[in-house]
Amino acid sequence: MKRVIAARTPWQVAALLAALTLGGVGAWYGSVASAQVAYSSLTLQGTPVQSVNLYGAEYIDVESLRSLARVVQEGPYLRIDGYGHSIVLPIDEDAYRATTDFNTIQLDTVREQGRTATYVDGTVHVPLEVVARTFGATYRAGTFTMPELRLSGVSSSVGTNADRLVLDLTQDTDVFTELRGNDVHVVVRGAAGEQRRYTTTGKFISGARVIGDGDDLRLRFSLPKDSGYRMYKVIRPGSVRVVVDAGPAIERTAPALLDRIARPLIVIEPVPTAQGGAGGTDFSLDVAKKALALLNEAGWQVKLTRDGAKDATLDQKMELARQSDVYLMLDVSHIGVEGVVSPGVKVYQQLSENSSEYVANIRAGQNPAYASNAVGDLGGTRILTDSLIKELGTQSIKAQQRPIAKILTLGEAPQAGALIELGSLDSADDVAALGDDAFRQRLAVGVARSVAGYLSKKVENAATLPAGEQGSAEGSSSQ
Amino acid sequence: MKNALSFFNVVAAAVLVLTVAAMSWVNRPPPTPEVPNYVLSERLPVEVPVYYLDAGGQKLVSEKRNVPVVQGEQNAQGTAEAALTVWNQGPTTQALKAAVPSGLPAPRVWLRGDNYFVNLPGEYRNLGYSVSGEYLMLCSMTRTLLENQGLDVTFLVEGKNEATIGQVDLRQPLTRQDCKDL
Repeated sequence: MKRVIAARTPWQVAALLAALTLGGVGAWYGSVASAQVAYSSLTLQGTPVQSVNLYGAEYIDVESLRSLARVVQEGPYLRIDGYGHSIVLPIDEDAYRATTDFNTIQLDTVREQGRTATYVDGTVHVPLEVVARTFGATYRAGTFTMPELRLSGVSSSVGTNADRLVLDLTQDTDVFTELRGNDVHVVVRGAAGEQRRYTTTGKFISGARVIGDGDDLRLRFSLPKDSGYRMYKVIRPGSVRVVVDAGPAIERTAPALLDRIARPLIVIEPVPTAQGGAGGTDFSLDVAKKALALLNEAGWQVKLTRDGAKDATLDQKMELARQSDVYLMLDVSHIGVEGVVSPGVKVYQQLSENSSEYVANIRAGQNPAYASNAVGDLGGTRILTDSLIKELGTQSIKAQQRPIAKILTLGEAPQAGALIELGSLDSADDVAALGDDAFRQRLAVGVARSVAGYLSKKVENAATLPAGEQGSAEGSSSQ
Repeated sequence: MKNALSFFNVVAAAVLVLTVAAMSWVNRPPPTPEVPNYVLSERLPVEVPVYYLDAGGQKLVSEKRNVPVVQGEQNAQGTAEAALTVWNQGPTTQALKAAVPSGLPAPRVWLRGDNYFVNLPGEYRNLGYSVSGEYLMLCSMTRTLLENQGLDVTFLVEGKNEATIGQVDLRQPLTRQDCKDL
């Protein structure tokens, strides 16, 4: 080179250097021009930002995209997470190649050939079309808008052992389920949607209802007995679906405490009487058996502490009382003092504290999860005794309401309990009335109706939403 | 012969005499004790409210009774014992009824601090009362004892802590609150 330059005159060297300089500038200009970069403006979710048009595709730099999604560069890859979706893009240093389908990109769980990220002016840029397609956004050149979070539809499918409900959402959000009584609630956080009723032809889910709950939306359906349910999301590019399956094929995983609402235990203790009932009839046992038959017929779970002369031990009774949702003692009044007669039917409401410290703590204000299913306040006993008085009244039996305290088994019952005196052994009129099978049947009907009514109301209350959460819209079916 | 009345011999003889005297003093018979003159403490009448059943077997009604108690009102234990004895015997008013049948032994009662302990005889297990009758009976005792003083009444059965004699919970003492609506 030295020899080449040395052999030339100075003006020739100057001309050579000028030519080389011009050639370099020309090459740089040519490369930039061939990249076909054009800067333009973009409205990203209402915010104006700068975008780059690269070989006909609109790109955005990662800093601007961070207002919409979480963007992390992991070596030669770019990961974008937002609205429940996930995008993995290789960063191709060849800007032209990045705009072609040369690269493999991953959109949620789908891999495909498509545009990928690249460097423009040393900054990583991302193709907007890919982001919009994955997030389900509305996109046209210059405008990128995420749709409003909505429940766009509910569909169902029928199975042999389980039915399925599918909720289509316009974008991802928090979704969780609650079991309220026998009803399953699928809560979609922050979603809007049409409040309406959906009917299905399924064996296990006969219908569902969408109701508003403040800013949230709830889909509510009844869970059949002995059935379980499960919920999961299916997120694909451009769509978010919440799938709920319910039926006997699905294991019931609800805490046992929740089942207490749906399958409560009624325990009836026919207290043995000193005289065993005049004429050989054990009045309290007979009424208890009649009430048992009526409640069993209606599908309630009932246990008696006594069958004939065989009585449960005190420990067994206390154990049953602790398991009970309703504990009823049936007794016939008797005081072995001459001249003391306490006639008539009486319902005693126990007002003293429960023996259990756990129960007392909850009633005193501590409120752990599902506590109301495990422990009822004294309001339950009050409602039950009121119901007993009312239902016995409908059977033309006038019952008096009285307070009582410190009864051992009633004190162990964590929910509602009452003592019912069916009459008095010391009263000839009462003994005559109790000797009448029809009267005992009326007593049993009154007892059974009041217990069933109380428990049914409890199930309804468990399924009822707090005030203001009830939706009222009705609609047609969607299959 | 040396001197028999030497100083040593005289001192030794004196010590011997003193020893004999001391032994005889120690072994003397004790004096006969005097027979104490016992004087019966004075029993003073104390008015106590005793609770009985009304004829309807629903309510407790108090009857004022004068009971003789040693040292009178100062003897709270004695007052309680006397009140329960009267409670066991039954009312004088025709309209009221005893809470237990006649002939039943009276329960024993002790007062320790503010707590009464009542020992029920074994016969109380076989009264055959209904649930409300048993509750009334125990509350009539509780209210009788707690009318003037004391916080609660613990019931024992034949000296032992038992869960119940029938249906009422005896594991914890009964208080005024437990019987307030009668």
